[in-house]
Amino acid sequence: MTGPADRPTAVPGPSDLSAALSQMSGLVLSRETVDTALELVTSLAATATAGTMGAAVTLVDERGRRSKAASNQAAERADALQYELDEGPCLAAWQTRELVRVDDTTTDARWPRWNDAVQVLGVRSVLSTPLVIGGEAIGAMKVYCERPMNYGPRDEQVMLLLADQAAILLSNSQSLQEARRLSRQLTEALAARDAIAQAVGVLLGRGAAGPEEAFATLAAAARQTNRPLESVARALVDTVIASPPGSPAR
Amino acid sequence: MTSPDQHAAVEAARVRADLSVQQLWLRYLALGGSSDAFDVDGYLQGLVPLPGFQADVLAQAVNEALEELFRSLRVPLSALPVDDAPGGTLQDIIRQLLGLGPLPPGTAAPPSGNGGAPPAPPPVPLP
Repeated sequence: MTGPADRPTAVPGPSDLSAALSQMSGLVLSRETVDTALELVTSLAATATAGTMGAAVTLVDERGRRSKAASNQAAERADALQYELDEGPCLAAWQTRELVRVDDTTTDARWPRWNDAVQVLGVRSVLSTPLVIGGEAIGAMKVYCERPMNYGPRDEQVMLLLADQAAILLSNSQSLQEARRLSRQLTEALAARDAIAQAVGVLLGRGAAGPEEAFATLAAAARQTNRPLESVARALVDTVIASPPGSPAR
Repeated sequence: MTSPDQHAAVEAARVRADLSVQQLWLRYLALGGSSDAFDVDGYLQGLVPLPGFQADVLAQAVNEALEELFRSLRVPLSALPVDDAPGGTLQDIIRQLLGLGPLPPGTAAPPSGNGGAPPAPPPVPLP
């Protein structure tokens, strides 16, 4: 770790940054969840820029769902306000895919409503970088400071460097999460498929002409009862199991 | 059930149900479909045919997705239970399919969901 506690306002030297970067690449192997990755990136952004009061990261996946992390409440609130007011530097960074710097929220005229709202939280200057991977913006990373004119070219450079790495990390974490989700869905799909195959087998045993006809029979029953085919198949198999072997008239 | 334009209807329904091709393929797989995702994608775009039975399984998959969407949008009435799937009817149909007689009254019949209420309305076609 970069030792945030002992020197919170120090400008990180190259060694701090390289430690941060190597920590992120290590995380790909050791930990996996998007949440963990988000928290790490957030704390790195907070410690890598001088004078930062709070940092936050927002991710937007391809379906428009947001996941986010913030190092403290003020940063979280400043973020939330952007989405409520639908304006602000991070939304701009995400949309334009360019770094956005606000030197003083009391004089900046670009997002008047948001600027007014965050002054109450004590936010005076902001630096926000888009997270871009493969030409696509997947979110934004931002740091907030209670002093005006806090961020300069040096911080911009640090944030851009961090953002490159963070985008790779977060995108990998998302892919992994996606792979897990898919694997779970596949397992569920196969369980349904099993149930349907068993029901088709039962109907074949009761004289259905072939698997296709058996499937059509199940589909018709599903339509008649307004249920998914899977639940009809399960009910059918359950009924067979519950019926005593020598039960009346086949 | 299969027709030259069925693929276009399935594709339109897929879009309406807000499913990705991947998600639709998973549903199709769950119902016992055996064509791969690439073939299904090609079929939806009208590039390759699917065997009739596979096309039917795919149609069933997309219909179920539409049905779920439709159900999720239904507005419950205060007097009637939302779930109108009649347990008793399903049991009757299944016993019929299996060649079993109807359940003798008083045996451990599944609770009939809606008692004397009319049977579930047919699904309303989505626009």
